[in-house]
Amino acid sequence: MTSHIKSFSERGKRVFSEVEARAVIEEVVKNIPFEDELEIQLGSWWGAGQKWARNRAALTSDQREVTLLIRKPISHVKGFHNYIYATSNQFDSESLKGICHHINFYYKKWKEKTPPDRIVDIPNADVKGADVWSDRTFERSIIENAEAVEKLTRLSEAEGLMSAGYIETAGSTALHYSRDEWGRVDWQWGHVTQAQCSVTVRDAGANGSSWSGATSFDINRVDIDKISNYALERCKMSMNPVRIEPGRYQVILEPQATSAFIDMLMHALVRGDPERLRGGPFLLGLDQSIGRYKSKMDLKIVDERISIFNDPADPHFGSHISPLHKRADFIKNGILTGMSDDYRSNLNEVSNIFPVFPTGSYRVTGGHTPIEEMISSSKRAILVTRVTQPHEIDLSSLLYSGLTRDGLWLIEDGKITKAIRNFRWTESPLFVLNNIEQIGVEEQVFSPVTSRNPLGYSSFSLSLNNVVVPPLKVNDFSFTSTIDAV
Amino acid sequence: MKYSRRNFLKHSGISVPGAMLLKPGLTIHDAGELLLSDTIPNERELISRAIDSAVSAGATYADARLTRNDSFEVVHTSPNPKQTMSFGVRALYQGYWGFAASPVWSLEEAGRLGLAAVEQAKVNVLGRERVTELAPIDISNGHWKTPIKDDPFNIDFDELLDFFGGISSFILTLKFVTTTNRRAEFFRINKAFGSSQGQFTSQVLYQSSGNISFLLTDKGSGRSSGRDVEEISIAGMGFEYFRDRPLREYIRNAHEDALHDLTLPVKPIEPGRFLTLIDQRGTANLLHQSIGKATEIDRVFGFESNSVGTSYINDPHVMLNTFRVGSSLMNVSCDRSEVGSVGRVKWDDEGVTPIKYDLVKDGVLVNLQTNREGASWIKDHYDNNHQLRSFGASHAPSGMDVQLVHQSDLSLIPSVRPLSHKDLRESIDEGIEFQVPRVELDFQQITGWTAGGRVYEIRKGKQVARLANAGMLFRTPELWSNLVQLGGHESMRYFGLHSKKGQPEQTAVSGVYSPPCVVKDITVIDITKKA
Repeated sequence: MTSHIKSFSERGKRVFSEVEARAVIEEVVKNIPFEDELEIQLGSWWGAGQKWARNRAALTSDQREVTLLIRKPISHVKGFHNYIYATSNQFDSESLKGICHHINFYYKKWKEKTPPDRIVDIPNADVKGADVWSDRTFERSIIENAEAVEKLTRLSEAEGLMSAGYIETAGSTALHYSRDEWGRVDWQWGHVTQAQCSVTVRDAGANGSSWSGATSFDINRVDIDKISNYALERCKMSMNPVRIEPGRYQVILEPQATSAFIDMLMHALVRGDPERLRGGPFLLGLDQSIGRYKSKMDLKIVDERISIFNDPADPHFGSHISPLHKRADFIKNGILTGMSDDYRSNLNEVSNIFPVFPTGSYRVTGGHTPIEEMISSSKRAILVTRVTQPHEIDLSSLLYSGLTRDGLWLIEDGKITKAIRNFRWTESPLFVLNNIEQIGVEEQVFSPVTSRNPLGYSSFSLSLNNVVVPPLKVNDFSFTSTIDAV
Repeated sequence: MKYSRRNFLKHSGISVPGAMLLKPGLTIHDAGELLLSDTIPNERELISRAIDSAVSAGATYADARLTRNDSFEVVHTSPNPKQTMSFGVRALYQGYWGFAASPVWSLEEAGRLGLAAVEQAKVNVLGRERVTELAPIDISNGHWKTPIKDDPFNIDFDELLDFFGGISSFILTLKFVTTTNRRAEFFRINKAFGSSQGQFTSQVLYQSSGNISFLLTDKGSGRSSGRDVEEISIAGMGFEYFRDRPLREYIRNAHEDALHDLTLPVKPIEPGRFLTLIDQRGTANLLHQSIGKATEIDRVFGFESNSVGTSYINDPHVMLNTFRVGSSLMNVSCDRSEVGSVGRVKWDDEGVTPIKYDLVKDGVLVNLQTNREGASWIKDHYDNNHQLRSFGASHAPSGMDVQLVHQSDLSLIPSVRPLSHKDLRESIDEGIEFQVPRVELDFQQITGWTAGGRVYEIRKGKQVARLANAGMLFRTPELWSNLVQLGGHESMRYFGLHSKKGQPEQTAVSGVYSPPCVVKDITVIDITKKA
């Protein structure tokens, strides 16, 4: 078996092929008695990173990682799932035997003590996702990255500014084997690439700062020159910000800023923590008479211009290895149409819960107003580049507090008049999405999967975080205090 | 089947079969074949091959690290082991850094990684100079292991389950307790390091971590109150971290406090400026972020500006030895040799022996946390104060990650007076007490606020009410300048705290020792109030 992992030493060999992955998994299966459910996933990852700071390349890196995860589900009580599992990144036959021994030993021990529990059936995927593998990303030469960084840092150096940033091209493959309690075997193969670039430009005296970034599965959709030039121009605009009073302002949220608020909403609607769903604003408690949770399903919760969905056939979203991935409409014309949860957490007493695997990807329908028009039509407003460090303050109203970062400007009488000091804000995405004045054209924002191993320990999926959102002009946004950081 | 210690090792997968034959100390083995001796020719050979390969490709400096991280948890039925072996090689070529890493431990791969690291660096040589100087180092060779009493990897898993099950049962006997959660996780990190300057070191680091929490509900009043046992976090110890400590006493104390909470009225917060008592955890959180993060030299110099941020220390050449971070009561030291601390090592990930030093002395910033490259950026400071050397803050979670400056273990030096948390409270006639607040600082670590935790009104030295939704709002230098009292040595508590940085992102954990403190004129607001 060692031949498979040793293949990394061959030049250019970066991730497992389906055939190689299958050979490893078949070896594992031989070592585990044919009884009850079994899930195995073998993932491999390669990433090339180009980091720079102070106008010089700081580190160029090439990393390759593999992960084998074996698990057997052992119980499924309400809101609680439990597995026996083990992970390793070594596939020589001795190591494989060791980890299979572990699984077998504890499974047997558990079975002797506990009667088996019915596991919820895994729903079948009915949509084949779009392919999000790009050879261009995978074959991207590090020389091209280095030259791009050389060029953009020369420009910022010539302007007397400091550029820092990161470009990464990565590829990931995963093979998923599952066997149900009747012995039916299913194989799923997935592969994705991810390209990302982000740039921060500051002046040496820390009087101004700006940021720009993009992610896509395809490096050709990540325009490094454009990102860098934008950050450079915006940095000059951001110099010597003035302090203005906190308070309620009309804001123009650029797509990156909008995405932070949609993330908060999606986190309450989608991510697989039943406790969060129960404590959040969308479930209204158990109706004892019918034994179901009352929810805000089919009620209007945000502006009717807003629809939020996730469609794996959309080329922005692409393939996922999860068997649960299909189109999900969370909000349609402002009406709550779906929530989703990890299918194992048994919230199926709530109607319309999607048996959809939680992902970080979604698309928000946009409008037609260009940002320039949002600016020119504003009497007094604040233009927000991005927000960071959002932290939940109250789950039941989705109230968060966070900061603005890397570019904040005052608009007066239709024109950007001055750079202003960053604020701390206190706001709920529900308020933001109910106070929309104008909606712009949606675009994909920077939202990389940051883990070098996109395979979770407790979940099987292989996905990118593809987020497509519009800029929004929002009324009465709450800035609660100024902060000193530039 | 009788479940013996030997079987545990055999079946757990924590150590692969054969690993039970390993002698204490050195458990790193080649991916392909087992290493049964502690003479470690294989690690040396792999590392030498990688470094030779890098040097022959033109590297002016190279280092290589082998790591094997093993962990398991005590939550449910099974220890669910995780094992990761990594091999990382870093090379310097004309001032530019390259790094290559993979999970394969073979001589062939060692050669490839050494060469790849240099190739990564070389692509950046495009005309402009990058000056990279590494502070001098004392060449060390040797082996070190976290001194532990009880190796968790050698204890029968059923024994561990029983131990923690007993804790849960005990908690459930306490008045009003409705639910309890506990988990424990144990780590063993084997690492070997070598560099082109002739170092070779290997270390085995142990870490034990856990979380014990419970919730009380008074069915009569419908009120509830929860507690995490604050004495438990993550430490550089073996199972003795749990076994040799009075857990039941900690739990009883936490339970009494929680019962007391249920008797207090709950009031809304009237915003204002208050004399404020902050407990050990709150003080540690504040210290970790406002001093710990702000003094990482790569943040100070802008290397993290595109990710986690920079620092309020924006001109270190001027600010070192002059910038007042806090009142003269404030003294913060850095030490990676503190017994039991999670960051404890003999050598950092550049082979440097860390030393104990002051970050803040009598309220003045006197040092930054440095690695070898970072130390050379503030050469003038070292010339005037120390011999030029890294302080030993270089760290990487595994061989898969490149070394970065991560926080070392910090201590806020306590008062010489033997003041307890309670003594500090009793010294307050009118004020507010914060316990376990969540602390948020901005991306220059200068403006911050807190949310969550427990907040009390104090009158005449006693907690008289719970305050709902109260949070502090502060600027780092003002917060610490208003420090008026610290607890004494006995009131110090240790916490292992996690933090993230870098691109690609890394998570590291470091220790913070902190007494409770009293700070005057703290702005307290209703954190849920919008503008």
